[in-house]
Amino acid sequence: MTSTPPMAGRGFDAVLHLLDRQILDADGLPVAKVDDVECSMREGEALPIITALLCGPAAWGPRVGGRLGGWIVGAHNRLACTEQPARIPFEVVKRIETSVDLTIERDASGAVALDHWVRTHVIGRIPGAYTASLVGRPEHDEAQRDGGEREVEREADRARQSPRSAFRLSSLVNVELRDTDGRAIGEVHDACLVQDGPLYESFGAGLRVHGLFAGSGSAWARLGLDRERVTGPWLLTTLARRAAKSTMFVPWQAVRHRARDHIVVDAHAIRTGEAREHVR
Amino acid sequence: VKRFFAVTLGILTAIGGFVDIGDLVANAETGARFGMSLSWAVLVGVGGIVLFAEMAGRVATVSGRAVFDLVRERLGPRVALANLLGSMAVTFLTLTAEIGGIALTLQLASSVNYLLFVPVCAALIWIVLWRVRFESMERVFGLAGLALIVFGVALWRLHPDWHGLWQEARNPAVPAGEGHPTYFYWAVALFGAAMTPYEVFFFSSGAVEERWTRKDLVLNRANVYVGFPLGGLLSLAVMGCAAVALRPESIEVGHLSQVGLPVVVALGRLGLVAILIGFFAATSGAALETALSTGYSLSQFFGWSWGKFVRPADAPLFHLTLLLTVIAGAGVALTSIDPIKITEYSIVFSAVALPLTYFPILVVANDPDYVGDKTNSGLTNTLATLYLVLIMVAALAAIPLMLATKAGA
Repeated sequence: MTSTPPMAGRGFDAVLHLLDRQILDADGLPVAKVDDVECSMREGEALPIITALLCGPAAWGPRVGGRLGGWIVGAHNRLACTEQPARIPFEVVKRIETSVDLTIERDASGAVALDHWVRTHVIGRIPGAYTASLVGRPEHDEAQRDGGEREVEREADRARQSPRSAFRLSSLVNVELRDTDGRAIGEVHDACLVQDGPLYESFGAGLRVHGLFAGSGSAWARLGLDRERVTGPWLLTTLARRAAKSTMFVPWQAVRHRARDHIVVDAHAIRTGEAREHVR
Repeated sequence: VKRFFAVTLGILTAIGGFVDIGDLVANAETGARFGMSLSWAVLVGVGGIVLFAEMAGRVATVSGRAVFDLVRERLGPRVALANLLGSMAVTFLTLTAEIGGIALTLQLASSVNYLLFVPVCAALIWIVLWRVRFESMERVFGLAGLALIVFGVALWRLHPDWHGLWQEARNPAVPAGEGHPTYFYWAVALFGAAMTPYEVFFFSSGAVEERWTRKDLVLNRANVYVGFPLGGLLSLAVMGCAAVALRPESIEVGHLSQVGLPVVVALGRLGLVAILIGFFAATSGAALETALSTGYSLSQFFGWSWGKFVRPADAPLFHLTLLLTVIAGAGVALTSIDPIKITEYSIVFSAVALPLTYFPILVVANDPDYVGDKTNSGLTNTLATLYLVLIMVAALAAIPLMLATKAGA
């Protein structure tokens, strides 16, 4: 779907490059958004690795936060009879660009349950739902789609198992950073991912969380305007780069303790004044 | 001819933005009250939407990502959800008004009460959404909407004092008897009408529907540079007709029939037929545009499969959204709420919602990860920054002006 060159250095900023991106299936059809990302610790590994993409209201609802976020999650839990979001294991991720492309078809992803329900019970019952538009052009090959749903469900069940050590990437960002004396030293606004983890068949080396970016300019960082490759508009990049000067890089090894609303780090290990692209 | 058909996406988008039911009345009303002294607001709006739609279209063409994908990616779920709710409310209100507008046009043609037509119109819109191919839809409604060019012909046949109109447009001043807040309220309304969020939702998603690729970037520009200025011209022609024919008689425009009055005066029965076709196509086109925009923005926020290029069964949630919005729109229109008043308000609210849509597009149009070497030029960025300021000023001023002037009364 895209022809953008791969990102230099095979480094990704979690919020900037991964969270909230569109997931496309093997045929280029939309599946869901990357509503959150599952990280887990593996035995013998010092750094967390990305093990799955999480989709659905149970994943993005908590990120909305506040009372509204609570309602969204509550409504989802009632209707879907589960508190778990759909889980797309990282094994089936092919590449991360302006979209996140999978190696499987959308029906096998386990993330389109609502879509299925509406197709079966509402839209599929209206005459013409399964035919192309009048004077239509050739469509995607029709063969696959329905059928074999049982197998699909079984695959989805298998994929639903998260490792015990799993945590959500969103639990790392937009939280307060504290030093070991309990003083607030900034807010985390992104996580630094590098593609140097265990090998996956389709994606290559997996993604590991190398550290956190923190500081005061989180809104600008989220927009990605502080990067050198972005050359304009002048007013916005200037403001963003000024804010980015105070960016701190916290290596993962410096993280001492993670709580719901703050992360305690060893302040001596923090590096400041480096542009994000240069940290890796 | 083939080349001309290639720009119908831009034409339909612009017709839905510039001469839909609310704008037809707003343009005629400003013409009748302020002459051409507010034409600058339309021109500034055309400039803004050209910049905005070109960026959104370019990003969609190169990266395959339509506007609400980017809103979600750049603003995160919390702010994007706020934007989604705001934009959907505005777009839905406009849809309601357009369904009422199609029915009002049919009332003009048949003298049967418009409420009876509302369910029929809604059904018609839904059938088009369900069955008609995207390209066929944009050609039929976009080109039929061009019947509104009859306003230009009528203006010419009314033998106006061209020099006077030009002077009035060039040296804008608040006419005697109108207050400054009222004048600026209408300026914001005309600007907001030109730059509605739903136009870019529709245009960028349309680029994806038509499967534009890098080599179609020329097509993107052609659509933008032809479509939107044409929309702007149509709305100036409506304004001019009202300024020439209605202002001297101090006719206050509040109904669709008064908008068409100058054309009937100038061109008689033939003119009447042309404006009825034009009104019908423009309001239907706008209804399709707004209904689809609701579906596009919702689907892109959630990551659902969307678009008319796949079978409805392959985009069930998108089609469910379309079905429900059209039913709800018809329901609201049936309450006999005044469709024209609705759009006049929704235009103002869309000026408020605009910055949250414009800003992420401006950012992404500069990001090589999305557009490669097709990032904004220096000139585009200078203009786009100026417009960013302008859009924020309009957004902040819109509601205070509306309250202070009792919506331009």
